[in-house]
Amino acid sequence: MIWRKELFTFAGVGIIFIGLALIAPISDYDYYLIGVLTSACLWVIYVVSWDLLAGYTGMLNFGQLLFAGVAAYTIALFELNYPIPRPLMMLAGLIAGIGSSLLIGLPSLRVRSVYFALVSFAMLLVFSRITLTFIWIFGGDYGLSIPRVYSREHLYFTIIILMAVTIVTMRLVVRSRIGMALQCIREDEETARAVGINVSRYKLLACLISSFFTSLAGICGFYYMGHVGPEMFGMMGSFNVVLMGVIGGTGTILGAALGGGVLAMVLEYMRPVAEYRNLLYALLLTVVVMAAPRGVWGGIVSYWNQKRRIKKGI
Amino acid sequence: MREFLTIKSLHKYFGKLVALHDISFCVNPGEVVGLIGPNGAGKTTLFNVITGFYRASSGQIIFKGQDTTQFSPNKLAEMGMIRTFQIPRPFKELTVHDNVAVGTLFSPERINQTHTSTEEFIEKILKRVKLHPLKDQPAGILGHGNLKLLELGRAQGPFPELLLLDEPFAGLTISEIESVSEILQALAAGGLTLIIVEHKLRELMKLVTRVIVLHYGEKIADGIPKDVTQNEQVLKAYLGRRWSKSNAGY
Amino acid sequence: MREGGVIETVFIFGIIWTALYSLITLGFYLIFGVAKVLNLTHGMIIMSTCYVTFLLVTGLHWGSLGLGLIGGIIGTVLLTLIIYLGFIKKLLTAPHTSMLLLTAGLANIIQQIIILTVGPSAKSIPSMITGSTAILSVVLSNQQILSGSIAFALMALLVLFLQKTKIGQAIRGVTQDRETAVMCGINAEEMYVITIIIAGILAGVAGLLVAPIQAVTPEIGWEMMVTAFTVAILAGLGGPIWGVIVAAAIVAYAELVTAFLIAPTLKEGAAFVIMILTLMFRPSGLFGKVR
Repeated sequence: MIWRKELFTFAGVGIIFIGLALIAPISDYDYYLIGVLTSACLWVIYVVSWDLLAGYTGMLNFGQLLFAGVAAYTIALFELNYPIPRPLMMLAGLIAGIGSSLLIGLPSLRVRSVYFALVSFAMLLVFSRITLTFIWIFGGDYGLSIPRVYSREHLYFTIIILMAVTIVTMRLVVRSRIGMALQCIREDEETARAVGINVSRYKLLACLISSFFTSLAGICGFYYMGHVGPEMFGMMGSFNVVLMGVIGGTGTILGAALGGGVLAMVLEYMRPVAEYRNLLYALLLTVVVMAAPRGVWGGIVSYWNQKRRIKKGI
Repeated sequence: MREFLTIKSLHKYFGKLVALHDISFCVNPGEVVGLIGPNGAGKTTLFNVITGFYRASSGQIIFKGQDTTQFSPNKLAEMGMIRTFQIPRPFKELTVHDNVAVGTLFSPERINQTHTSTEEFIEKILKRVKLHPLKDQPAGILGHGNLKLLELGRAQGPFPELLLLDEPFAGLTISEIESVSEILQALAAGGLTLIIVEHKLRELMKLVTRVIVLHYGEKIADGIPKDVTQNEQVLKAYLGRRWSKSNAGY
Repeated sequence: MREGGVIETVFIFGIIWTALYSLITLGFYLIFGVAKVLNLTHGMIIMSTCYVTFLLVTGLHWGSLGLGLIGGIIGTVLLTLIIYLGFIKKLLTAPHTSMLLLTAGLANIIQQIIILTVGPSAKSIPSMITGSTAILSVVLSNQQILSGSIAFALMALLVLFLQKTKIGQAIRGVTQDRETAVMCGINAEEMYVITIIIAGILAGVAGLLVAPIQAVTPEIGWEMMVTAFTVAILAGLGGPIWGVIVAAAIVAYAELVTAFLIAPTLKEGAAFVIMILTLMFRPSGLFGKVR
């Protein structure tokens, strides 16, 4: 029975995926276009992962990109200093990325999920400091760069596949027992415990799943750009993830994906007014939070549900 | 007599405030025990300590043969000890059905022993608490009476063996109380052990086989309802010294 | 400007920074105690005072500035009030995450406005008083001593206020149990506003005192927020005020030791480690309410 409901999602994802896959050869692998689309897909993965933590579990993460950054830097370090076989490098990056989520996750287990937010801030600060302090290891402001390993085209397809997989997986997780537990945790941790939910275990699980996909995206992004820098640990990138999630709709995987996609495009096209961009984002976030706490998609979903209820005469 | 729930010398302090002092009692399987006492006597605190929401300052709690003094609420739920809350705490965004379903997801083994499917079990619970017609509504729109029923229904999800109910009649009309009473009687008849905190003594006494009385954190009586309601200490606690002497023999 | 042994230096600087960190944290701490809101704009408010100070000082000089400074503090208080009354209040009934997002958004707005108007490069602010003094053969600038002393004085005043005055006690009542306080006739809403004003004053003075003795960049907003949060949870939200001072001391000394022994740029790492350890092993803080 679960598959029927998911038809909508799967169909939607399928269509977008096919669309993206076809655009590449059609546009003759236009450099700029592929770049924008890749970037947008990566953002979508980040936002959807973020939403699992924030929208479903109530753990507001202001440092989602941290996981990606840690994974990317780890791989960069291996590429430049210890050229072990690539699969191992990627595994190392993945483990590092997931491990960094535990740095935020473990301390937050015993306290309310809101503390998570500030811990994530602090993490960003610390990691950014570390990369800027040990310049000889991490390359300081310039970050670390490697010569091209995989072709952009290959990476493009890998990334869109990853995006599709992420969305589908997240959707399945959210509809499963895990998702229900997370929602209960978000609503009322104590009562969740009273009903038998091992809150700590599920919070950790959410961290792991979220950082898993984010790290993978970070790794792909790194190979695409051939570069990773301290901006991964900057406030702005992660804040954008938050923004996209909030506008798109926290607590709805599709909404998050939408938010990610749309805003990522907007991000690209707003480059000329870069200075004002950040201010606009902050304003946008504030306005959306006050006016539509469930985001655009979330608002649509709850409006829909309400209409259904009214029809049924309740 | 199998040892089901044993409380040994339980103490709970909040700083210098003595909330519970040297509480000891046993509960046997199948009993329906009432826990009463004036406001502030420590009944909810006792519940909180037994079910793992507060940590005991000293003493022991033994449930089904295991020392559960330090256990977390979800571990106790797995073992079959569930509590309800005086002010209902539903998962507002989930449907009524899902609120009950949540409990079934995390302690499934016992359910599968006696039912063909979890869904069947959930439906049974919903019918029992008379919420079946509302099963697809989000819990957030329910009124107080129905929320109390939902609280009861949700508590049955994990297939409990011991149910601790915190004021199940609070805020209900007389007919609603009767409904809840019936449900509780059915549960007890089905083998569930119940400990009920209540202030509505008349209705409570109809349900319980035994009463424990708390006063200022101490146990001052423990016995069958008839004896306890005539106990002078108990009367003094509830009504004050003057009344107790002239009204002994309620 | 240090001579004398490392131990004396750390010790003396620790005292000054304990005072300053306490001041930075107290506004945040009080607002959380009274309104149960984690106000993420707190760091930015302090930072905005730093920038306002910068603007005033580059225009005029400290001496003729008495009124300008008071104006700056009033501005900070107004800002805090606007944020609370205009924004935070509207979302008090929404889920916690909304409040966090709101205050984070507002904080970023403030930060971006500052970056756009004043520029992202570091600014330095000349001291209120020049010269240096040596204590225990450690050389300090007089500004540092002044900042530290004023911070201590203000805290002492605050403690007295909370303990001895009626309003102070009312605030403490609301912090401990809002419902009961209201039943005793305390107007919780009024107490919120008064606390906001106090928090604003504390933030304003903190910004004033910190501005001349450290580099002022747009990053310090979040840095101070992290500091305030670390000290607050180490002290234990819901605990006594002097708990904040003790926690501030621990954090300040940990950071100084890290700065001296490992690397100055990593001193936030010390705060972070403290935060993690506190949350993992003693989430209610040193003096907070335990269950």
